[in-house]
Amino acid sequence: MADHLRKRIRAAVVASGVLGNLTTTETRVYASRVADMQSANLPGLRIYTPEEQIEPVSMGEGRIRHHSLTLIVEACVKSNTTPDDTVDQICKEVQMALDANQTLGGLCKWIELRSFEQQLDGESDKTICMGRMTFEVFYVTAQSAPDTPL
Amino acid sequence: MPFTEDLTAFFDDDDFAWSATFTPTSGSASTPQVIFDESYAAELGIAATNPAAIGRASDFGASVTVDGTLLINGTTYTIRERELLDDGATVRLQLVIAG
Repeated sequence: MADHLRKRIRAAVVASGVLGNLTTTETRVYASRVADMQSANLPGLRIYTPEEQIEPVSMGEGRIRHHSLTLIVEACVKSNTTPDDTVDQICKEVQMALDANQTLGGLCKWIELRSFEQQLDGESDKTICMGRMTFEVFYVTAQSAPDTPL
Repeated sequence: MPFTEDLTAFFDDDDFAWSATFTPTSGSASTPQVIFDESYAAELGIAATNPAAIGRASDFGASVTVDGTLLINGTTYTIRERELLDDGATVRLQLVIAG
């Protein structure tokens, strides 16, 4: 049995073919990171899949389930030189990469950007800027097969 | 009878203070003593330091301090904020690494 689709989606997002090697963040992409981002990790991306809504759309044995997975991509920058512009550049690269990989190789039906939020902090040696992009990832499974995309 | 405080003992660079070079936004540079801290900070989960200096308010004029620079132990900082402390005899300077 393969891994749960949520894990497979997360792995696909951080892979080099999607967000794993963008122009600004290069290979500094981290899934489910809880440790602080150090200078060597910046500018970088943090990827989280913190919640999911599931709805059965049929009945009986082998019923079909629709999944709406929340995918959070955080662009992290520490710089005294227009960090908000750098965050926006990273967001552009992320959005274009996900728009070009809508199904993540068949794991999901589509990915859609739902919101963006920016936070700035000036009480540090350089200005910290974090841009949080929240995406919805829609995928479909059948009962007893959470690892198999339909 | 008002009490005139001598802050010299609090800013002794033989103890906890540093001799810094302050370049204001206008006027001549000076070499005040400051107490410098650079504690670890991790706002938004991004590691950084929080450089700050405490000095005599009289050494850092209200209109010429913000956006001036402070050279401490070989590192030049830009002064981002000037905050009066307690009775206003001392100030806290929020610093950022210049450039």
